[in-house]
Amino acid sequence: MSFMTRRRFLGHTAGAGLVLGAGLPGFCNRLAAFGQGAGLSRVEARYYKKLPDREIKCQLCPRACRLGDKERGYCGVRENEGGTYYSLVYGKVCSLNVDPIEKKPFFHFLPGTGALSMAAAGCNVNCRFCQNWEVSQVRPEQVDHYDLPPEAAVGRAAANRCPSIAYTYTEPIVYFEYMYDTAVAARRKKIRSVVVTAGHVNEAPLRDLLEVVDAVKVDLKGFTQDFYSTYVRGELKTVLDTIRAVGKSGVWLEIVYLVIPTLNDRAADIRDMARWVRGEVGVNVPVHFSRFQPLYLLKNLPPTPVATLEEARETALSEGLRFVYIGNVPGHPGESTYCPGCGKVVIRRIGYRIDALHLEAGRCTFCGAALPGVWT
Amino acid sequence: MHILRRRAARGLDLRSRVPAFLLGFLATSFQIYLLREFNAAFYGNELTFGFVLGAWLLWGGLGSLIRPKRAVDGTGLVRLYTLAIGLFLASLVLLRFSHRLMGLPPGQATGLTASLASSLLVGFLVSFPLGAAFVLNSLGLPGGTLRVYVLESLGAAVGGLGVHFLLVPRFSNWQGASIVSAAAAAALLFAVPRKRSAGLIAVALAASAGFGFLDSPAQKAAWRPLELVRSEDTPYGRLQVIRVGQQLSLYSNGLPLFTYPDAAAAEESVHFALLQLPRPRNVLLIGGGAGGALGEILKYPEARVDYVELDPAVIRLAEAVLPASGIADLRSPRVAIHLEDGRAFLERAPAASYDAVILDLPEPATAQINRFYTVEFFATVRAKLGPRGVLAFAVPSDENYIGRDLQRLLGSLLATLENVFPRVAVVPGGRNVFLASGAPLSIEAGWLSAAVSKLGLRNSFVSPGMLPARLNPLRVDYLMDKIRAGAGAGALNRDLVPVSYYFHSVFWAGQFKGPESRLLGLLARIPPFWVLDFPLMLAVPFLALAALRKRPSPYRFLVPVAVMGFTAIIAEMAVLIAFQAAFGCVYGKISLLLTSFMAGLFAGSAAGRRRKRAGPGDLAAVEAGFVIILLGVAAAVSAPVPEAVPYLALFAFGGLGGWLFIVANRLYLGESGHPGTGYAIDLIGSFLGVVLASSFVIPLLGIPALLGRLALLNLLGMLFAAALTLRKGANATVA
Repeated sequence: MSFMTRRRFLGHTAGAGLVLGAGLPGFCNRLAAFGQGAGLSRVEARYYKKLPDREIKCQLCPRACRLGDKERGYCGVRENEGGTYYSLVYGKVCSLNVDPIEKKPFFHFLPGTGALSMAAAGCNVNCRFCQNWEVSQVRPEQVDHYDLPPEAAVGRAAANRCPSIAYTYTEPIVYFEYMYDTAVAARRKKIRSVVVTAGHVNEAPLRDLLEVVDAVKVDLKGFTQDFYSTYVRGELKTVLDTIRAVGKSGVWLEIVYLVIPTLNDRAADIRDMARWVRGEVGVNVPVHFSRFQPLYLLKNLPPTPVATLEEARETALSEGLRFVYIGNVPGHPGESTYCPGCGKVVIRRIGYRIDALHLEAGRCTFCGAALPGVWT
Repeated sequence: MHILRRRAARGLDLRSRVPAFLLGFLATSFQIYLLREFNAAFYGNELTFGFVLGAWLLWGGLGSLIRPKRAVDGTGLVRLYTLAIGLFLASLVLLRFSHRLMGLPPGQATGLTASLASSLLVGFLVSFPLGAAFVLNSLGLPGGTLRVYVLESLGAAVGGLGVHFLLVPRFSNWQGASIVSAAAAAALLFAVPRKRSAGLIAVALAASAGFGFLDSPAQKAAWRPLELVRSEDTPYGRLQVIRVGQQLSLYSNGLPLFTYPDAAAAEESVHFALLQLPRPRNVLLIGGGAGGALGEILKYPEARVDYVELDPAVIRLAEAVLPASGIADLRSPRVAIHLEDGRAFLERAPAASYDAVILDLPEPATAQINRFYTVEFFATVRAKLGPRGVLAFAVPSDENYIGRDLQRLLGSLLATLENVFPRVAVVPGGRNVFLASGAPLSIEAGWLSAAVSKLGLRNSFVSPGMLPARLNPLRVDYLMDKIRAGAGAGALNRDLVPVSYYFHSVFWAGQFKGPESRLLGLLARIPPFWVLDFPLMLAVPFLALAALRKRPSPYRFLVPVAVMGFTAIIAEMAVLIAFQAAFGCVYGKISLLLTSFMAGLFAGSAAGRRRKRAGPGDLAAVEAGFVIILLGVAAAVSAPVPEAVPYLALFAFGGLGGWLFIVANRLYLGESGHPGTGYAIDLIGSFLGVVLASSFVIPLLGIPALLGRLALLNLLGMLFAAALTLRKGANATVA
């Protein structure tokens, strides 16, 4: 990183250390208190409309919560107080890691690099198989978080030599302001931003967000409204609109479809989904079929057999999609990227490790075909 | 009272005794089968066991408070029994389809609210009519309440023994239930005096007989759209094999034990441990072998494995359904399979005989499994490991955030390990792998990856491709900081104070939106004084007032009954849990243990009936007996005792309880008289006892502390009864 001088590094690290140290007593306090919500933020939210009688209408996501004084939105992290709407988790991070970008998963975006992965509490849907339910399906008071304002988050990314920051684990849309401001601050330092979302967001905020981030991965949980109603409490149409909007914007898009045995693994649905992707956002959008590991409320379902994932991949490839991957099965050939021109392996992946990279300036080194993605 | 005097019929023919006997027989066998079916539907542990037992006792108690307006004859009684049989079969169906009825797919977990609600519903449907039947029997039978109690206890003992020895080993739950119901219906048809209703009973008989054949289709239907391919009811619970494509999953009581193939789980369990050793040779694997862990261990060329599995049915089913690759591991010459309890096996092993002990068991979700995560067990493991030996187990966790409840659970496991082993390391991830040893451990990604490559291990998950991300120092440090903060005071997990099991219940309950988790968490924070000692202190003035009232109420004789009901059930649970910890196979012997209790109840109540002249002095003597036995049991649970001791203890509790019940009732009925009240007080006292004990007192405060307080309570009861002897006209004689 050319901008990183030793002084800056020390400064950032000291800054990060101070932040952490400052947070520690508060952190310990929170450990001692049961159910006490210490330290929520009170930063005015965006995308809402004031109504008479101190009511507001939130315009961030299609739930369109209409809230009276002291009421919180469905997501649990935005609250109306006296007619002004606030975000309760601005700058309040509960999970912070450096993960390989392949883990988000992004396979066509800065491969082999680390992403500073962060999350604040909250979510606006309720997937029964949520991997991060402890921070997404609870009230923010029940979560131990510490202060990490946008500038500090960017500092952490720099300190860890991460070329990108990932807003992930929970649903970053519900802490939109924090994500947006961090992305803007990151851009100033030439650090990119990638968003991992379930896609329940309105057009206007999405449009604004797409101007400051560099890649979006949308979790397409299923391809029927029935599934969305029962297992997600969400709206398929909204998610499809989001995917379409991201595709049109030029921001890099990848899609993940978590295949859950007997719930969303029907061949017909996979085929419809593949056709839709081809028609609406094009064959160059990578689609990942991920293996379901039982947890949370669906802990007692069996995991997805690898054969099911392979069939899904075959279906999608036969519908013309070019980059179809299998996730959570390390060592599987479906993890690697194949050149659409000559068919050779241009990126061999084993788990999160890149074993071989045959790309130069975004082109296959064997045949010269261009591969879509953000490679540098 | 006057009803009893009117019905002075002398008839001593056997047929008049059948209904009371049948009542006990049905009550116990229904209870056993409902409990087993409940466990299979709601992944039973001791907490839910307490709910089911408690609901059963509560409704039985309430049922026995009915006051029929007019005398009920034989036909009415028979109709009530037939109704009970029908409701029992219906309850089994309700339990089997409980998920579907709640609108949930078969794989979705349910919380405590669902368990509690279902147990209350089922208890009402089945136990309430039987409680009412007790009263009706008492009104109809010469000898009244006391005789019914004796016959009922005898029937209960016979029922329990019959179910345990004859039915459970050979038949599935529904088949056994079918046999019991059909036998009862036949008895009603032929052996009970009645006038009409032959048609109704015949229908019940036919339904019962056919019920067993519905078992397999009903199980398959309940699992749809998943495919159930095999099922077996063992003494430990229900094993079921689910197939998705080529993948097979084995479930025990609705919880997944393992999936084949599932490289992630198998590799995690094995490699983090074995990579610590230069050349692992002797490995002990407890549980999970059929799920692929064996294959992973066999990747190490010199390793040989002792694989210990408690339930032989697991191996049998695995061999029946697994593909050749899976079976080959089970049959490898380097694998020795031992069908017994893992703890018992390890205790007999020579010292320092193993390089690694791998626990491939579920997390401490029941008090029974909890005993593999206690200080006592870890001490045994340390003794049997070589100086560089490693202990390993994996616990489901959260990859990205450790919440407070999870922190307490993981913290207690860490604290317990660190109490015994000098070195402990914890691997972050969706499952946390705990490693413990006397020698240094490493979970550094580079080191482990190099070891994997050097050995040429073909791993997918514990591999250079995945380890660096998983073992990122940020993740390792975050996890360690969090769980160390949770390893504070009161975190040590012991056989008799199973706190990890409790913390797991709290964590598990937190997934559901109900108040269960907060309630359990709150209970965990109440200092023991308020739970145990303060109520005792309150009881003193209360009992003193009750004993010294100017105009004594007949209920005063039932105070010892309430105390006894409360005490006996808690003591029963304490003995069961202590028995589990020591011998490890309660679920297999539970009906036998319960039968000891019921047999004692019968013997005690029969002896009580013989005692013609009874007074409060007898009550005081019984309470004294309770105190002595409670103290004896408190001493015995902490010491190694022969396996017969728990049976004797339960028999003694039952005997004293039965004797007390008869004598107290005799005194009570001598002064006033609803025949069911004593029974009701007994049962309601038991309900309170079991709910309190199983929900948090035993797990958090431990068995010795609890037994000590119970002894104190009974001491108070003894003083109370002694005070009663000071009143005039205390004695009564009722035949």
